[in-house]
Amino acid sequence: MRRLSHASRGFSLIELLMALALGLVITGAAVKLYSTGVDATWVIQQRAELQQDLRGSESMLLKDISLAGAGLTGVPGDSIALPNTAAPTYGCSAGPVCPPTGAINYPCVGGGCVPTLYPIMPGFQRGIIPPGSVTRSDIITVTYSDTNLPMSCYSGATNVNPVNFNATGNVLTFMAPPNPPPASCILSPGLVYPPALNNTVNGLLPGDIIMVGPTVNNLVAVGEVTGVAGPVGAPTPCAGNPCAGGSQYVITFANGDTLNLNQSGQNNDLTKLGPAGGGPLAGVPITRIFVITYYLQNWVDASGHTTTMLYRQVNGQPAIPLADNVANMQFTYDTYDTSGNLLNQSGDGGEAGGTSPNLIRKINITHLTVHGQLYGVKTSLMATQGFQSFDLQTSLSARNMSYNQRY
Amino acid sequence: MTANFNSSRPSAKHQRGFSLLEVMFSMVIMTVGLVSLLAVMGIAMASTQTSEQTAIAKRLANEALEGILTARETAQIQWVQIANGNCAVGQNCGIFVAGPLPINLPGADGIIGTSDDAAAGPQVLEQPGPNGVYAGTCPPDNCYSLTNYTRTIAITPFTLAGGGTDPTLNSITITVTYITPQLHVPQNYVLNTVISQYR
Repeated sequence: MRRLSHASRGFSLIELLMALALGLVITGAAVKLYSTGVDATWVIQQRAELQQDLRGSESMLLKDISLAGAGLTGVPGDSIALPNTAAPTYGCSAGPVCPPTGAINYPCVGGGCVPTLYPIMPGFQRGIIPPGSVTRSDIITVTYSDTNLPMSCYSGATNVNPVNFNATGNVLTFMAPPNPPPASCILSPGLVYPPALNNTVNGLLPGDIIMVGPTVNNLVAVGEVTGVAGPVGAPTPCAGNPCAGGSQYVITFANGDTLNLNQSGQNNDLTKLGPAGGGPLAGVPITRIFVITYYLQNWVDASGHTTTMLYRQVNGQPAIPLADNVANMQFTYDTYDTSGNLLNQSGDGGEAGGTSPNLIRKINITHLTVHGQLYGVKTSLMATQGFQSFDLQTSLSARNMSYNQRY
Repeated sequence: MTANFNSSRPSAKHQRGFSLLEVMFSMVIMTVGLVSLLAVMGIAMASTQTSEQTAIAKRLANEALEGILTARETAQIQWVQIANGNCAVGQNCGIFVAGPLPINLPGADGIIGTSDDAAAGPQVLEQPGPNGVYAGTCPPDNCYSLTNYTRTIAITPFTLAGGGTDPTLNSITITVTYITPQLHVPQNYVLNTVISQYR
């Protein structure tokens, strides 16, 4: 056989080895670059998630705080005393998870701690100790009115269809207004007639808090709804004056509610507001209010790792987790003491010095820290750069609380 | 036989594959392309990190505005004091220091941008340290003193569309300027609003 021509020969062994070696080097470099890229993607993903958590918490928190006190302008003393034979609880109390110290500390103005609803209630160091922290986190509770559901249309701000109390005073019967409704019934744009009180979109639910008052005697009380009964669908208007024959909604405020706000027959209770022996109570505004609490809670996953989550509880409804990875939450308050001096950045809003929470004028969120609570080393980048974190600090004016210093 | 075989097969030049040199060239070109793709990832990462700085800048601007609003609501400062100037709270002229200021705590008056801020010291952002838990003190936590940020509060009488100014309105422009390690050009977050004399 003659030798193959030069052109038809394959690679020589040397050529093959060189090519393999070069290929290995290039492949190795490519793998390294790819691995760095995957690491970077992981870091970016974590960071984006942190920012998302922070934005989520921030937007809800700032909205609720800036609304604190809205619609409570006519309430005497800008606060609502609660029945206190048994301590009512608001803040964290309805859910299975609760800070170890229980519900929010009652503002103790002038010595005695009378359970009272204020537009803003600082829960200074009433929250959990976040993992690794040396101090307790804070809780904040805000109260404002819900104008979404036009309850005053039913309760009868006029004498046309007053709300009716039963003999005990803890079952209220609302009657649908005539059609068209009286001028005192202010509806959302687009509505010509109020929706059913128990409609499925924004109607009353057990756990909702209703504020009744101020009455002609300047009395105000709140009650927690435990039962709603009535016709579903379009309400039938009543006719005549006094009007009769309309749809009726029976709202029950029974004892044993989740927040312990209903204490039948006790001072400051809703039952003290109605006429003795029951009957109609004319000319009293009735509003649904929001009592919203933010607090932190530890959550342990299946592998035993603890993540701190931010919860938001509305009225007596179960608390809802708002964002995870929130490592801490702390507030300070700019407020005024009884002599009119500015207390700048006071942690408890001046509570220890007997200052009313009504005098809080600015809320400083000093730490709302989010960080990636990752366990174990996920990637080489995370190992060298440690944990990613993000801290929010900002301030917010208590817009709806400064009315009593305006004029 | 041999001659027939030779004539029936295509020419040797067509049957040859790539040479080693050609393969190496193509690999080099491909590597350059891949590396440039990685640069895009780097830019994406930089912008994610810059978005955090922007978020902080937004809060710093809002914080200053909320302080001014609070002071107006509570009548802690008078209308004439909501202006640029170098007066202390209580004097009857503008209290907001003009020009860029470092990010300091609001001071005893609770208002950001006044002359007593310098004594209050820098505002710090506190983030969990390398162990990943929030200790509440620095160290072990990391404290960022926001030295790469400045905040300018500019207050001018509100200009009416037809010329002239409205004495009951002021324009407030809060500019937060910050430098990020990723982007070397200073970035600005500008908050424009109008404040009324009436509460």
